[in-house]
Amino acid sequence: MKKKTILVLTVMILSSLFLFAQGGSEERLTEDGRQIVTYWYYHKGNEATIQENAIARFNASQDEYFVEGFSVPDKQKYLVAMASDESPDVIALTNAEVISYQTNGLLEDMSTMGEANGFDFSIYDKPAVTANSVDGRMYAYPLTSVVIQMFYNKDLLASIGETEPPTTMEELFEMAEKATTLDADGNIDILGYPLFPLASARQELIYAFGGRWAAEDGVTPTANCEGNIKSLEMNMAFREKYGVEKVQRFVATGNTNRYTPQDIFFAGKQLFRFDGPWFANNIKQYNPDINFGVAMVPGTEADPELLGVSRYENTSLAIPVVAKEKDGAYAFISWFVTEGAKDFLLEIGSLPANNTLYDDPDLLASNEAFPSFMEALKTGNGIEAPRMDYSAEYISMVDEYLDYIYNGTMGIEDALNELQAQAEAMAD
Amino acid sequence: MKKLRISRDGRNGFLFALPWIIGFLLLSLYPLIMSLYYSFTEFNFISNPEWVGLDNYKDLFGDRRFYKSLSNTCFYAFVATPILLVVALLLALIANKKFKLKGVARTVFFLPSVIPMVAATMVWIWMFDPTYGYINNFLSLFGIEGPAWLINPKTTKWALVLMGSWCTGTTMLVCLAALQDVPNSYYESADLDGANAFQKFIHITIPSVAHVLVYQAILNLINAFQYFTQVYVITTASGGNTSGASGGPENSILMYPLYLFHNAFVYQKMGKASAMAWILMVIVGLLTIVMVKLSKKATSNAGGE
Repeated sequence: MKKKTILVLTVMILSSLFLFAQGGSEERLTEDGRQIVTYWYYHKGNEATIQENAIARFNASQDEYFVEGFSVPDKQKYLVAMASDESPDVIALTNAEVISYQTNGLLEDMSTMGEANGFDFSIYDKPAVTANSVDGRMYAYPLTSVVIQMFYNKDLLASIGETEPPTTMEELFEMAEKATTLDADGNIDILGYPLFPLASARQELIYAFGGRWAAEDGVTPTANCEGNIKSLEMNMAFREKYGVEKVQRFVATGNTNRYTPQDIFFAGKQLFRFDGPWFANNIKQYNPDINFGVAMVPGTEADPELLGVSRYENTSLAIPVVAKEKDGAYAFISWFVTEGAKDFLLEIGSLPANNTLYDDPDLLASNEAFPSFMEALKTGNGIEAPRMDYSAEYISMVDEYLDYIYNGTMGIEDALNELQAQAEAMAD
Repeated sequence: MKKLRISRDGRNGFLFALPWIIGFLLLSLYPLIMSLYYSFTEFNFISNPEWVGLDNYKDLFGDRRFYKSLSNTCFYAFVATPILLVVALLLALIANKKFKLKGVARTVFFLPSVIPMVAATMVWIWMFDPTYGYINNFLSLFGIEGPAWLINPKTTKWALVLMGSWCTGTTMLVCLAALQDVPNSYYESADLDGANAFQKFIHITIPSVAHVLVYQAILNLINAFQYFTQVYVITTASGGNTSGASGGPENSILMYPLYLFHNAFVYQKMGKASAMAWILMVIVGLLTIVMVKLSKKATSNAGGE
């Protein structure tokens, strides 16, 4: 091949690679000169439309920035984009992801940015701050909250001679035993104890007994603490009474049919259900005839102040460290979690993270479960997920060991001690 | 020294191949080499890789879940592969018979292979429901109480095998082609010798298609070590995972590629994930060598008969 041909080809390839590499670095402006800020959210379908509505409201209020929203349900793309110099300026993610991302140093320090811009941090209660903080610094501003409370079937409750929902786990257990019925084959027909959804078995059922997977500092594992053992003893007492496999079969069916017309609660086969505020809308959609009530998750006789205890989670907004338009990103986020929050929450039907909205009459009227859920938020009994740098692996291990316990493969204390030892080894 | 001269055709050929060569160098070889390098580093996508020597490999060899994922994958590979081959061969034998609606039968046998795996897995999740699922309802017709397929760790992997045996269309097609290549004169001679159907199957059909079966076994075994989509869907889909554990109940369907994925994209341990990928490559490489040797032996034995 002639040297000249080789030279031309080489120059062409190198030029195209150079241009490709340079592609992401240019400043982007709208025709009217506004700085373009890119915002990636994981919502899709109707929720993506609601995100776009919020973005439109922000853009209408602005002459400096213009936000372009993108629905990116696959969050791996967040990481790939951040690694390839094509990072969005704002990302929506869960508070657990905030911790996971920041333990790898991927996010901007929002405490510092907020202090520099005079942000009023008092709009957030302690759980909201802690859930989005690493080493005492916030790396995202939470927009929505998720807490779980107790739905109950009033007719089933009446059938066992009760009129009021339980306020302690001991009362709940007693009612659950009375309400649980079996069919002719000995299979569970109505489930009294709230063993389903599965996530509650790791969280609310544990927290209600004062159990925790991490200490107050969020990073010290406490897998074998007394509260965890007490809770699991009660859970296992129920499972063993009706047969571990029978309970598991019922739970499996509940899980496969969750939020469908065959959901065990909608079918009138579940007395107590720990679920989110959206569940009230699901009931109306699938079986409006279900006579249900909402109450706070019970505490225990020993710790009645645990009433309303629940996991505390957020959808939060963060700025990747590799974002290019950080000022615009901050302007959008600080608007979204304050002025822009209420309209968004009304549309999407979520609870606020911003405590100034807890008593908002429009929000309270928007969902019949909200008053109980807002009361739960006010108790401050929200429990944030563990925040150690190996928390994703730790939670996965917790779930695995809960399986060993619930399936009867391991005893409660043996399993929790082994889990604790493994967590401590990971910490080292 | 004699100057190397390239013909005009050679130059043109090289130019035509150049896009592929560039693609191969940039998109295959470079990532391959980089993944080997990353396997010796601590790396999370964004931060600069930090050299840690053999730490990722040491970490893996002391990791309980690494062995669990390997054992789950080996179970699937060595239990499902022969079962799927037998199912595919049986279907091919049926499809090779002369009967009415043969074309329809062939289409039905192959149809599952063209259904997207994610959609198919979602349907199977519903079919495995212990109370309302079709499988347990079918078993109940015979008075059998079906298991809680996807919640009992003892049955989860068998559920995957059952799911896999439904989708053997491609292997069935290859077996069918091999069956059609078996000369009819063999069977006619066997008929003259008074051989029954079973004897003909054992002494004519199996040896004649042995080379294809071994080849399919190698492919299926390699595929089994890359088994991901189904378990990913089951463990992440709403209603699929009947356990909070990321690898299904008691991590009983935590397959090797799924654990690799968790390390890379959930725990953001790209170095550890790269090390897992290289260990997988070594395992699959060794298995392929063994299977190829067995293949040669099997085909030479078949030829000997």
